[in-house]
Amino acid sequence: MPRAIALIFTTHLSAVLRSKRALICLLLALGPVIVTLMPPPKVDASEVVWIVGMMFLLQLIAPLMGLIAGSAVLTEEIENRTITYAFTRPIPRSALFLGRYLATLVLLSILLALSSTAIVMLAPLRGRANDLAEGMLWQLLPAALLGGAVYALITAALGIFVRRPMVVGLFYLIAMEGFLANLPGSTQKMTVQYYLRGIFTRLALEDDSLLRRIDVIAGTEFKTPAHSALYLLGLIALAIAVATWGIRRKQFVLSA
Amino acid sequence: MKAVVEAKDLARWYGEVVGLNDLSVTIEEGITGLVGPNGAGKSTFMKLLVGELRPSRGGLRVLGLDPFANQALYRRLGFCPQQDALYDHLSGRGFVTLCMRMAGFPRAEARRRAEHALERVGLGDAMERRCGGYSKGMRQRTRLAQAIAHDPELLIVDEPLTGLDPLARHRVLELFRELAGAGTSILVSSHVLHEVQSLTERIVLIHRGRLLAQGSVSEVRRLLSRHPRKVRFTVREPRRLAGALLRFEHVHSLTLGEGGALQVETADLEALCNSLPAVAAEVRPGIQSLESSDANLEAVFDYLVG
Repeated sequence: MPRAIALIFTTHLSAVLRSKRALICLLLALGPVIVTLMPPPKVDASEVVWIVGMMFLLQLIAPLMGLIAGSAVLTEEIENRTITYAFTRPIPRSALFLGRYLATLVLLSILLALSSTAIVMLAPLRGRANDLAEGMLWQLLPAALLGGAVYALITAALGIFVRRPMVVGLFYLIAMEGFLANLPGSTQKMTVQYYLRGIFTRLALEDDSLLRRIDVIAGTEFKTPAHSALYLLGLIALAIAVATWGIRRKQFVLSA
Repeated sequence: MKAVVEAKDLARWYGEVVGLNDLSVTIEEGITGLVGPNGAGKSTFMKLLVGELRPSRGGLRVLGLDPFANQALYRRLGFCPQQDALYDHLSGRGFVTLCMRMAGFPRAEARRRAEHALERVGLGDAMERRCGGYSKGMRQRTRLAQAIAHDPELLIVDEPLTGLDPLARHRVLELFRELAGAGTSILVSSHVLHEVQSLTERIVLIHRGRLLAQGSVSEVRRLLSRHPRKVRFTVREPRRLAGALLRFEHVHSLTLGEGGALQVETADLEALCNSLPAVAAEVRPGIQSLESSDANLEAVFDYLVG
């Protein structure tokens, strides 16, 4: 199994990195970087990172990138009708899914890491440099990487069960991650956003920052970053288990 | 002979659409042609054989194994799909090598097998080029190469001659004969019926998801004894021969054509052949040639599917 996953991963990595979806993801990743340079001068640099990081990178860009890249994991094989070659070979079917998902994860990780780093590095150019809290990159970066990994996996797994994972995934992002995550109350715990915020914003709530004045955040009790990360890793494990179960049983009807 | 495929009451439907219906068939070693018109259920049958689909009902064994997602079977099976799909970012060699790596061969062995298979299908000079730049015929041959490179016991090929020029067709048919000679069983579906017939006498006819007939072309033809057989003569004196043949009960009709052509429809070809020497001696029509024009697969197929 690991050998088959590695084979699929190495075969598809270059294609994933050079795909049109990669270009779209790159443009999306540039979005928060541009926004970081846009606020008026004299704003606290930390506040710029919090706002752009949470509202823009974690809540909009990472889910969209995950959706776009993740929806290609299996759907591309089905649409291109190349899935036959892997499914009529003596390798576990799930190796195709996992190998391609890992290749997608490399793309997302590179772009989200670059975007997060750029936000933290550029924020002091517009805000007050000495106000940038220490270790902000190490809060934003894991949240962004985990966000990309979870959203891509959810969309990729959807591709096993539904014909148009991008449409269903978009509905999920709007209804769950866009709406439910921003309603005050415990329903937030049903969203990935809640745990991403747990990793990224918990520290912010410990001081008197701008985030204290945002109702949705201020009224919510977050888990610790470690607990939030653990929850998301558990979600990844569960999604992989469901995906491998599904792909073993699924019949893929390809048009001629 | 050993059975390579055994299907019993096999059915597969897509929602309310019937793809295959109560198909019971045993296919033995050697080359077998799977023929039928578009929508007959050939591709559905092949997808069931290679385990892409599960039967809705009935049983199916390929090389004695349940085919759905069966890794043990895939070591022994080669499948050349109909759909024109390859990993376009890979070279021909890269693609077939990948397939061989997935088949479990180490890198060097996979590469050696890929090169050998590509040479066998006539792509030795083009194997370094990206699949995305291949012509339709080259893509077809690449698909075939990945199906044969691991020396499968059973090769299943769906419409393998589509998109090939006459030379490539000849080469592929020769390759099938070579493989069969080396002990590989081949199940080949095709619309190019005369080419299937040139490859094998054994056919499985499917129509509307059902088995219509199975056996050699001549066996199938014999099963259809109620259907009159056509014999085409080229004769110096066609009217004289026509007059002499009219007295036989088994002769249904006679049609005179140009250039001494005479077409005879008979319910009993054997009786006609037996009586010909006496008729020829009696009326001396000057028979130059004769052929049973509808003994070929095309005619059998046309008759069976109406």
